[in-house]
Amino acid sequence: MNVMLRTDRLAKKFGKVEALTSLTLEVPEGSVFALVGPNGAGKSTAMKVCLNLLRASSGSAEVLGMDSRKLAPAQLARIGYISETRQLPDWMKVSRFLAYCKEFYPAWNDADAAEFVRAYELPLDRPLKSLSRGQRVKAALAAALAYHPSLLFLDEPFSNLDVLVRDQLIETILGAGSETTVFLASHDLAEIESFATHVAYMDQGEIRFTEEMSALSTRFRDVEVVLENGAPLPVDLPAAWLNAEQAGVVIRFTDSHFNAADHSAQIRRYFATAREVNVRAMPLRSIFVALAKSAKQNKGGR
Amino acid sequence: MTITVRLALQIFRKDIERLWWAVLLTLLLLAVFAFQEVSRPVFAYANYSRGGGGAWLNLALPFAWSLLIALVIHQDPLTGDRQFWVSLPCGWSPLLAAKAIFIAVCIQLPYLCATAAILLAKGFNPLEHIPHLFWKQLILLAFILPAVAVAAVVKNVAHFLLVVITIAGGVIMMSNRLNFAYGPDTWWDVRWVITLLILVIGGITVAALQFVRRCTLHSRAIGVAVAAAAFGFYSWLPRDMSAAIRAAFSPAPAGAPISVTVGSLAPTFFELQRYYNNRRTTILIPLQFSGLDPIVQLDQISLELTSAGGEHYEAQWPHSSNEVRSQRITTGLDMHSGKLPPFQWLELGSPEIAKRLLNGTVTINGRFLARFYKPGGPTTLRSVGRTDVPGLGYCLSSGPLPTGRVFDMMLTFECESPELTSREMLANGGSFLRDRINFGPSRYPEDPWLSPLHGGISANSVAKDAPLPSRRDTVAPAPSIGSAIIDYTFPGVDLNRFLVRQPVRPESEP
Repeated sequence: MNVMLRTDRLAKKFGKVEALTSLTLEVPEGSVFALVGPNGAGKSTAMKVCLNLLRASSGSAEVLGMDSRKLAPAQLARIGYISETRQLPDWMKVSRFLAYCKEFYPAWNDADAAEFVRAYELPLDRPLKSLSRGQRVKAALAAALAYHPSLLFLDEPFSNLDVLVRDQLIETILGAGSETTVFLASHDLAEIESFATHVAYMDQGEIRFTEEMSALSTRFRDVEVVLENGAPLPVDLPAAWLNAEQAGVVIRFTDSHFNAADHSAQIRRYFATAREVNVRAMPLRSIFVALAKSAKQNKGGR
Repeated sequence: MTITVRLALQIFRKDIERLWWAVLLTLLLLAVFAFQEVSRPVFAYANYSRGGGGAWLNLALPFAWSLLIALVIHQDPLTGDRQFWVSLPCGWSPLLAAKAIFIAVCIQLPYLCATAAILLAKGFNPLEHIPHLFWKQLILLAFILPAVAVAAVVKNVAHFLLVVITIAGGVIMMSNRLNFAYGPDTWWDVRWVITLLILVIGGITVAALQFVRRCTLHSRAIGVAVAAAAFGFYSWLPRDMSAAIRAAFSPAPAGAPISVTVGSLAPTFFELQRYYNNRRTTILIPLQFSGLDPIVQLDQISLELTSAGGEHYEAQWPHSSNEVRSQRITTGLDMHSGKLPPFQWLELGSPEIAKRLLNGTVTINGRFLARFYKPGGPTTLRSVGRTDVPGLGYCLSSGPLPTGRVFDMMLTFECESPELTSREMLANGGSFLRDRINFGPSRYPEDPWLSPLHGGISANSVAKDAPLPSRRDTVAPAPSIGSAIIDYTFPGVDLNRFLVRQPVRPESEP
């Protein structure tokens, strides 16, 4: 497996504030890697350090096999970057913007650019500053995808976009196929669940975990156990069972290492009087809520 | 075409598209400046309005250019992490090249054209003065580079303006302390040259660091250090050292050494009357020179008196009014004062000082700076109108000018020259004329430093009822060919001998 982006204990401090503490992750080729977490978690900072827009305080990042601090035009020509905070040349008309970008990218494809303009219904004769946020993102995406980047950085690309625009953009990103690896930062779990192949959860500058989406979906289950009687919650539950709560005869928890083969046996081991066991797949959002809650509890416990 | 050049041209084109209106405004200002220079009224100098009506443009144009520089740098800002260009595959070299092209095309080239046009309109062939025109370009560049450096490290154009206004305000506030000019006509003052060099080298360092590495914090720290160094250097460098540096960089031609001794003084009533001051003690020490060619110009740089009691008194010339207050003695050199021989004058700041210095002998240690000239052939000027002077430029004679502000009537001629080597002129037997241009902080912004022409004026006052002199003025170019320091010591001088006492009108004097 080729790795398009790799970070090793990457850290970034702004004065006394640690925006990134020790970021270690690998983005495999062809993946749609989502870096998720709450606002202020350090996602954008991580991206900017990877793109050499910011200098790391310590640790290292490798992008397309190159130390991020040494990214040269040859590598940047294979990288796309779209961010809600990036200052585009707003005064340019869309047509001029595309023409300007074209000069920098040897792999630029006019036909593809024209196709994106058509598909996104971009008004070529209007300056970027007069466009809606959705249209501006579309213009930036058209400019980024027209040269078929090997690695596409998307920093909160869908925030404040309506559902239709968001779906259209996701469709485009997925349409780029396996030739483009996508590294995406978002605080909205729901928006990336449908198309991300890998996910890393970030909080307070740290990666809490990173995993393939399919494995994550398989691994996490919401478990509800109904007991015959109101027996107390055992104190020695497995560490993988998170946020266990009891309400009368009903016990609920999140199994973070769900294994269908031995799940029933494990339930019986801890809840001998189990009358009914309900196991449900969890949406990404619920998984992260469970994880965040568990982390909070552990922190409080310490 | 290499990819760097192609991308640089792309960025340049983009900047032009964006900033055409600002470029147009600066071109307009430049055109007004050129027009003002060309149409400056003849004998404007005679009325001491040296820059004519367009003098303000010598301040407004650089300000407009600096804003243009800030605008173009901030089309692709070097600070922050949100700029568009950073993730484009172009690197720093096309970006730097693009900005350099912009400055060259929109500032340097128009200025070159304007200065050439001014020369042409004044009757000079610009092609014969290309080195001088390029010298003016270098001077402009010395202004541009620090502006680029400031623009490269500030967050936006508003911050740039704030920094520029703060620096200008600080310089104005500190102008007394800075002692901008040692005094009038201190041609040997090298502070502004070295300060500009510090700013240029610092500017290049900061701009290069910022473009190549985008280390904003480091660049800002270096920028502040450079500014502090320039400020410190300018306010610290003593006259002695300034003159010595000047002499070291333009040594005098080999020849007989100049020496000086104390001469004799036999003044008449009228000569002495000029120097008597009942509030200060004035001393005139006559000087006798050997090896001094009449075409050598001497400036007093410093003087130290040591009294018999071992007390030291120091003075430097010229001095600002602030320095006069702080110095206990003041001094100067007068080479051409009527019927008097060359002499060094001394003014003692208080009766106590006078008492100490006049009680016994003193040792005088002094320093002169000699400037050597190589005069060309003289040209006799027409009594009225323009005369071309080979090796210099041209001169305009006014004929008698009725009632000026300063004199009852003046006979003036005004000369202009594009050549730096002809800055000094000899007129009517060797009295030196003032330069019109003396680029540098010492006279900025009043002087038209952007003008490609150097000028001088000779104004002779004539009493209203006096008969007009019949002589014709002659002018000769006199390029400077070097300078030398002359240190001297006069031991055991009794200052009482040279004390200017209240003149008593002798019977024999008319």
